[in-house]
Amino acid sequence: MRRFTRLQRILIIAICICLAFGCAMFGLRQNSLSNVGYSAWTYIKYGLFDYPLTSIANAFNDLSNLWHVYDDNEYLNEQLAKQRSYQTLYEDERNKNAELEDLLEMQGSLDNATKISCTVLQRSANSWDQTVTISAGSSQGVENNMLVVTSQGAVGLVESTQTATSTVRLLTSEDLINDIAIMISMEDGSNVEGVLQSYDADRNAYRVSLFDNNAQISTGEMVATSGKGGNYPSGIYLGTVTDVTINDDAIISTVYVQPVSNIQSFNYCMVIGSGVVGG
Amino acid sequence: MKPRQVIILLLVMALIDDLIGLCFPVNFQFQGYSFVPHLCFITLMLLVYERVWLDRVLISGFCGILTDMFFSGTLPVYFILYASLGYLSGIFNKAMEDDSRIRFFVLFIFVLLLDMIPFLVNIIFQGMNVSFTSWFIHHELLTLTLHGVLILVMMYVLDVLKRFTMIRQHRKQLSQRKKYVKMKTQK
Repeated sequence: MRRFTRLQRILIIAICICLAFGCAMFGLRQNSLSNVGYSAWTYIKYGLFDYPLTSIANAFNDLSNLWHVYDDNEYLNEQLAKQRSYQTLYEDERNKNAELEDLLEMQGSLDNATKISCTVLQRSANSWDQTVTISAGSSQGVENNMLVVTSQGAVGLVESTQTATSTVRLLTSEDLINDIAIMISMEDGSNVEGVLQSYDADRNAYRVSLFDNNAQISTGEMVATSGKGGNYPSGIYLGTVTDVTINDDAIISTVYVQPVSNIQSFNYCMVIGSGVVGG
Repeated sequence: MKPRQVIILLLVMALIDDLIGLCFPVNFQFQGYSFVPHLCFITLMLLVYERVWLDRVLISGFCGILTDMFFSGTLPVYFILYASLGYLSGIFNKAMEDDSRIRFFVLFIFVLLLDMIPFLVNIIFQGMNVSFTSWFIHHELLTLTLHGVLILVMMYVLDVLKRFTMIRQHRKQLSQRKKYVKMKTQK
C-alpha cells in the first residue's frame, strides 16, 4: 500500500472534514424544518469575511467622505459668519427705519417751522458728548442757534454752519453756546418757564433754572422749548424732570431734567428753525 | 516557501479577491463590463505546478473547497475545478519551468477555463439564457485583460519570494557549515 506524506494526510483529512461539513450543511439547508445550519454558516461567513471586508470598505468610504465634510464645514462656517453680519445689518437697518419713521411723524406735527432733515456725518469719540457734524449746511438753510432734534426730542443747537455741513453743540456739552428757554406745562393749564443753563454730568441731567420759585414741580413733568429768545419754535420736547431743588436764597428752584434717551446715539436728525426756509 | 507562508499568501489573495468583488460587484444583468478576480487561483497554480500530482490535486482541491464554502457557496463546483486544473498544471510542468511565456499562456487558459466551464454548465444544466458572445464581452473580456497583467505581476512576485527563500536557505546552510567546521577545528 502506498504511504502518504504528512502533508497529504493532513490535506486528505481536512478535505474529508470540509466535505462532510459541507454536505451536512447542504442537507440541513434542504430540510425545510430546520434552517439552523444555513444560518450558522451564514453567520460564520459574515463574521469571518463579509463584516471585516465591509468594515474596511466603509472605512475607506468614510475617509473619502471626510474631505467632503471638511469642505462642507468650511462653507457652513463662512455662511454662519455672513449670517451674523446679516443679523447685525438687519438690526441696524431696523433701528434706522424706526428712527426715520418717528422723525417723519414729528415733521408732520410742525407745520410752521423750518425743517431740514439730515444725517450725522461725524461724531468723534473724543468729543462724543460735545459736538456732532451733520449733513446739512447753509445751502440747505441751516442757521446758527437752530435746534437739532432726533426722533425723541431736542439734542443740540447749531453752533456753526458750512456750505453743506454744520457743527452741532449737543445739550450735554460743557460749553453750551446759549441758554434755551423752556417751559413746563402744568396740569392746571398754566406754564412754568425757565432756562436750560447747563448739563450736570454727575446727575446725567440738564440743570434748569425756573423763573417762578413758587411753582409746584414734581418729577416726571415733561419739559419743552418755550420758543422765546431762540431760533426755534415752542413745544419741542427736551426731557423729563428727575429732581427738584430749592436754592439757599429760595428765590428760584433748580430743576434737573433727564435728556432724551437716544442722545448718546442717533443717526438721523432734523434741524428746526422758527421760520420757513427761504421765507 | 514554507507551508505557513503559502497558506498566508493564499488567504491574503482570497481576501483581495473578495474585497475586489465587494467594491466592484459583478454585473449579472450583462449590462456593463465586469471583472471577476481570480488572484487566489493564479497564485495557487503558480505554487503547485512543480509538485507531484497528488500534492497538486489535494492542495488545489482543499483551496477549492474553502473557496466554495467561504466565498462563493457553490460546493462542490470550485472543489472539482481547482483539483482538475491543479492536476492539469502538472502536465505542462517541464515546459512551464523552462519558459515563462508558456507558464503565462497556460495560466491564461486556466483562467478562461475557470470562468467558462461554470458558464457552460449553467447553459447546459440550468438553462441560462445568455449568449456566449454577450457573456464573453461583458464578463470575460475585462477579466482576461486584467488577469493577463495580474499573472505577470504574480509570476514576478513569486519569483522574488522564491529567490529570497533560496538565498536565506543558502545563508543558513553556509552558517551551519561554518559552525560545523569551527567545531571540528576546536576538537
